[in-house]
Amino acid sequence: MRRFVDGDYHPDMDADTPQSTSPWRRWASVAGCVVLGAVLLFAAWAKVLDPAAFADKIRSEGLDIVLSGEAVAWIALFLELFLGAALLLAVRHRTILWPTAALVAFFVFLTSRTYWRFLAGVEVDDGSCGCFGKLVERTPEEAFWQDLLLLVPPLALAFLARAAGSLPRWRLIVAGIFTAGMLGLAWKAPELPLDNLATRLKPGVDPVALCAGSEDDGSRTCLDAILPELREGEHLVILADLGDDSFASHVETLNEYYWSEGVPALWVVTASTEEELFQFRFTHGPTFEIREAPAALLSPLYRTLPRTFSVQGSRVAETWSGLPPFEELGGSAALE
Amino acid sequence: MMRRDPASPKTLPRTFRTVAVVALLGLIQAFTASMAAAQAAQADALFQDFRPSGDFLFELGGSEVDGAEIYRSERSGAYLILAPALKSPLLINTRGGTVETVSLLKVARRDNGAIDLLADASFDSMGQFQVGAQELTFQVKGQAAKLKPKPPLLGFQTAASLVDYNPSYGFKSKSYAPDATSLRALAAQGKDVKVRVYFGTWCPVCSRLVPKVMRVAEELEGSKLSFEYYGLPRQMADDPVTDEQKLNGVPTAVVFVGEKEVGRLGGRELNLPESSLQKILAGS
Repeated sequence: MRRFVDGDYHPDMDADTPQSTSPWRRWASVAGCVVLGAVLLFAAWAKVLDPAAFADKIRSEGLDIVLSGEAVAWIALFLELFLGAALLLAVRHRTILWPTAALVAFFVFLTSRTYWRFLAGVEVDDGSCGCFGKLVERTPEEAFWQDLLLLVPPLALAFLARAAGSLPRWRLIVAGIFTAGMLGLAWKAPELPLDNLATRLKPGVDPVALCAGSEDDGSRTCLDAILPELREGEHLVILADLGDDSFASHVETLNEYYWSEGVPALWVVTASTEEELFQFRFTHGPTFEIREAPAALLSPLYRTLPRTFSVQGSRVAETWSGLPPFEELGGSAALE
Repeated sequence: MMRRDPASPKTLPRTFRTVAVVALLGLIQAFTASMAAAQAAQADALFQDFRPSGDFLFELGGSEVDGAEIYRSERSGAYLILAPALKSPLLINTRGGTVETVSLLKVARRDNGAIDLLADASFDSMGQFQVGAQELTFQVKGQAAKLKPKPPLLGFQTAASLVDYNPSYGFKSKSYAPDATSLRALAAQGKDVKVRVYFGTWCPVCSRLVPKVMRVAEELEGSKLSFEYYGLPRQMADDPVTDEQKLNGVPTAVVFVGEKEVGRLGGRELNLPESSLQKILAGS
């Protein structure tokens, strides 16, 4: 191992890094690797928390041509995690850098295509633009420029002093173990209570500030346009799919709660279609108020529906996966 | 020819007859009032407080029924249809999926226009209704009947045309009490102000907030403030006005002083339109 160059110790240095490479190029390359690795891992984290949403995104982008959306999502997630971890461990070998370059090109292609569609006036799903899942709200323009700036310069830097020859085995083993662990977490994630981590809706958030869309094309919508009432008082808001039979089976419970004395105001918010709303209203007889909201506004707020949050003092106080424990909220209704 | 005997009971003195008539009228009034009170007290626990609903239109035998009044009870989720063409009002029970008739005598109208069914009302089943994609179909005495959403009201509207389209706007408008101080300040201001409210008849938030604006407009009649209303389709982008005015959602009230836009009120601000308007004009 030739980790001593010009008398200095370089732990990042691969055994076969050319001796002629100047120190600043090597450090710039390492820095590029680490930054790119961190960006890829942050992006992968959002997908680990909600792999189903990533598969939906793959389908909505039309990338499920040969393999299913789920298969493409898992392969992409594996690549992103493994390459991200390897880069974070300063592996600058071309075996890692070239696949990373392909992945970066793929991400930039996707965001640039979405941005181009946006500029052309084609409607885009801007609920989760780019590669950061539901954690970050970005317009197509922001997604394109941010991806370009976060991915391409560090990649270029990483290539400044790429290594050849044998791979750093132990660092790759560590990256592999990390990747396997994260894929295991992603596999189990839908069953785990990770909604607050995986979405923008979490305790402490101002619900009125939850928005989607761009000011530029006039598509920006915020939750306060749908529920201006949230500014004052106590509320219980259920995000629901009205076509879901299991939600429909709780309508009587919700009706009872809605008419109970001294409980927070109940609202059901849905992105269901006009037809679904009509059918729900006349098939199940809800007496609580239902508000419609664009899917782009709601989808970053949940992993699975229904999801519930309470609001006190114009802040999200608590969230629940599914329906809340009505008996604990003071209503006369209780879930069976 | 018979002559009337002045001493017979039929020839009571004029004052006595007047007293008797007044007493009878009083009795009738007292009876009516007690009936009304009894009716109010005996409203059905579930099927009560039906309020005008302008979301649907009612068809019978393939054509829209003139003069049909449609009400909805928030408590029960049921709809009540009254129409001259119907002998008895129809109750659409959404929780049971049934259509029933109820005697008109068991329908009590409150002073505010809401309707209660009396506790002792009996219902005659007309069978189940079928839920289609966008309509409810059922049979009324062998005739095909439908309840379906009204097409939205589009373009420039007046308060009167809004109430005509959806009586619930009038009902909600009457029940809103704007802040008197803000109203006085608005009435006293000297600028020519125009408030244009963009809304959608399909939008539940609009149906709650636009009536408040209508009430404020009514209170400010004769002042320098004028109000107009503009209905947008569900797909707002279908109307070029959405793009021209850069509207993100409805309801949105755009406030002009002269020809210059000085501010906008969204859903949150329109919850108290008079106060929000006062703030905008104070800052313009």
